[in-house]
Amino acid sequence: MNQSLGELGRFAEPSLYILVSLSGGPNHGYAIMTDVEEISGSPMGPGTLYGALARLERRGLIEALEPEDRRRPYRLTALGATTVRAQLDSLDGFIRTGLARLGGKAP
Amino acid sequence: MSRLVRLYPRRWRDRYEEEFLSLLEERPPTMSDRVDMIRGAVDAHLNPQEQAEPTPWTYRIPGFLALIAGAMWSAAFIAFVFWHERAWGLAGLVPISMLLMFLSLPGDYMAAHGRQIAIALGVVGLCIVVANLPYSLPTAIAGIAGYLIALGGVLTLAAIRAEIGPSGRWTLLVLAVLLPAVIGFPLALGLGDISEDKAWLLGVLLPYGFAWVFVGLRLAIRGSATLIDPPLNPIEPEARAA
Repeated sequence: MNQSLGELGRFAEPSLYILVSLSGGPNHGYAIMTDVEEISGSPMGPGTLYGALARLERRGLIEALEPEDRRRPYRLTALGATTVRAQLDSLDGFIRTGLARLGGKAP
Repeated sequence: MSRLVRLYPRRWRDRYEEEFLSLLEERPPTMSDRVDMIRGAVDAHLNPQEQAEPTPWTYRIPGFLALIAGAMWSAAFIAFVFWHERAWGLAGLVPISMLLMFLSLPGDYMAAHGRQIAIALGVVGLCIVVANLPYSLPTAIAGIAGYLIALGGVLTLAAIRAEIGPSGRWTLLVLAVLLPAVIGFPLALGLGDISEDKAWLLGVLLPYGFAWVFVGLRLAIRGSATLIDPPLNPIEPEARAA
């Protein structure tokens, strides 16, 4: 069972990046933000980050851990792991198809 | 920076403010981050159901009570200014709006400010007694001064609950209570019993209603725990915090 991120609207893409970032282990807001910027190559604003974190937490895809000082780490739940895997599999199929078609038309 | 965080709903801040501020300290926001935070705040208000702990609808009650109180007060005094021949019919709105103003105060906030609320109520009661004594200059001065203290006090308590800072509260007090008093006192003292053709003078009390509309809107947007809500982060008295 997994959840669709499509219903998250403008937060769908940042949410996927956050889930991928947390696939490497629990992390807090600032670390997620810098990691996502590294993965995606574009900056993620704090409002977008926390808008997406709140939605992911609400849907049970991530969970908050006990705060460390003022930082609060988040980790992927089992549902979150299944969801991100399904999303990446779907993207993988999409990318393979796209590349194959490009390759077929290449001169 | 923290001013922008204040744009988020109370319930959101109860949950995320500390870690959010910690993040902003680690990475000072750029101009585009600030715009992003404003968008985030708008989103948090428009989609409370998307928050990890959505704001209960009961959190809006104090704000709506204050808003209705301000609207009723304003309507009554607008009527006094523009349709004073028939405005006395609307005079009944004033005590109702005052009741709503008091009803907008209790909540988790009450634990911290209960004594001040009780004093304000007592002063209002005393003023009602004094104002109904036979007219004389001392009773008029005492009655009006008491009302000003009570009205200013209640407005200040609501403004603290709506998280309006000290400078904002002073601005409200000056514009809604002190300035109208400076203008209205000499006029009112000379009138004795305010007759129908001079009722428009009561227009000086109009800014007080507008101030409550402003505070009510702000309180409704931010939300605040009522007596039926479990307090999350009871507001501490500012003096204690200082």
